[in-house]
Amino acid sequence: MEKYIKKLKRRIALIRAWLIITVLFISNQQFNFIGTRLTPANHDVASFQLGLILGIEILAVATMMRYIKALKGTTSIESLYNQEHDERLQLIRQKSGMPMLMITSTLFLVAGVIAGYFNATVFLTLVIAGILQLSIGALIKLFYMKTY
Amino acid sequence: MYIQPYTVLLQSLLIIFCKVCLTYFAKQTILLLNSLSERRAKVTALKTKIKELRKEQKMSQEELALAVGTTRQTITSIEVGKYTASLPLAYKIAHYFGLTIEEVFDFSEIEKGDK
Repeated sequence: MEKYIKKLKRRIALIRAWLIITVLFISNQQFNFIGTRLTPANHDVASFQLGLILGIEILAVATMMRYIKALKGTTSIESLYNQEHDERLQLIRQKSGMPMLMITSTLFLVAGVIAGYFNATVFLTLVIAGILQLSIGALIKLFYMKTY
Repeated sequence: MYIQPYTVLLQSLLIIFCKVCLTYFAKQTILLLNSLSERRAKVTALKTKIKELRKEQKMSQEELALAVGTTRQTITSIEVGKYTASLPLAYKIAHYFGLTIEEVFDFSEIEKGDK
């Protein structure tokens, strides 16, 4: 359990670092602190990118709050540990293609955000592909959760 | 018309990425279809006495799940016969109630199948 607590603390630190980097990036894009900023392909792409990044940030903050709350009690840590290492959930994740699906979808979205600074069509294609992949993965996972 | 090189590079990377993901998706779809066809012929999950044993000790599913290191949803699935516990989990559950695995899980269907 000690190893798991250290793992959780490491995850919290990583999420904090990611949040700081993203906030600095978005602030620079808005207020141009360092004198240079990336210009997206068009205004719609810029708005979409901002929305996407904010969405990912909200999820990251929610995850971090969950870990911090879990670290406050022994029962909550055990409960979180059981959820992550439960054999039935691991079987469901395996059958629904996790974590590969999550990794490829995240790569699609990140590539889409970067591509948005060069080409709007590529940006839209990658983002739609990433979201579609995530939706299909979620449906498959739901199916197996009902089966098992 | 001037074609920007980075656009071509991005588009080619996108095509490669999509092909890789399409192959991966096709494989997952085949595996899913195979598992669906296997389910029809599959032996159903084992019946158990976990619910009765739990009620005797006035214990909730959550308490039992925490005691044996699993989730409440898994205990529910095992009780209704949707999911078969692995050997380590079956041992933990039986050991928790102070019984053997054979006393908690009903293997009569498997024994009938063998005969």
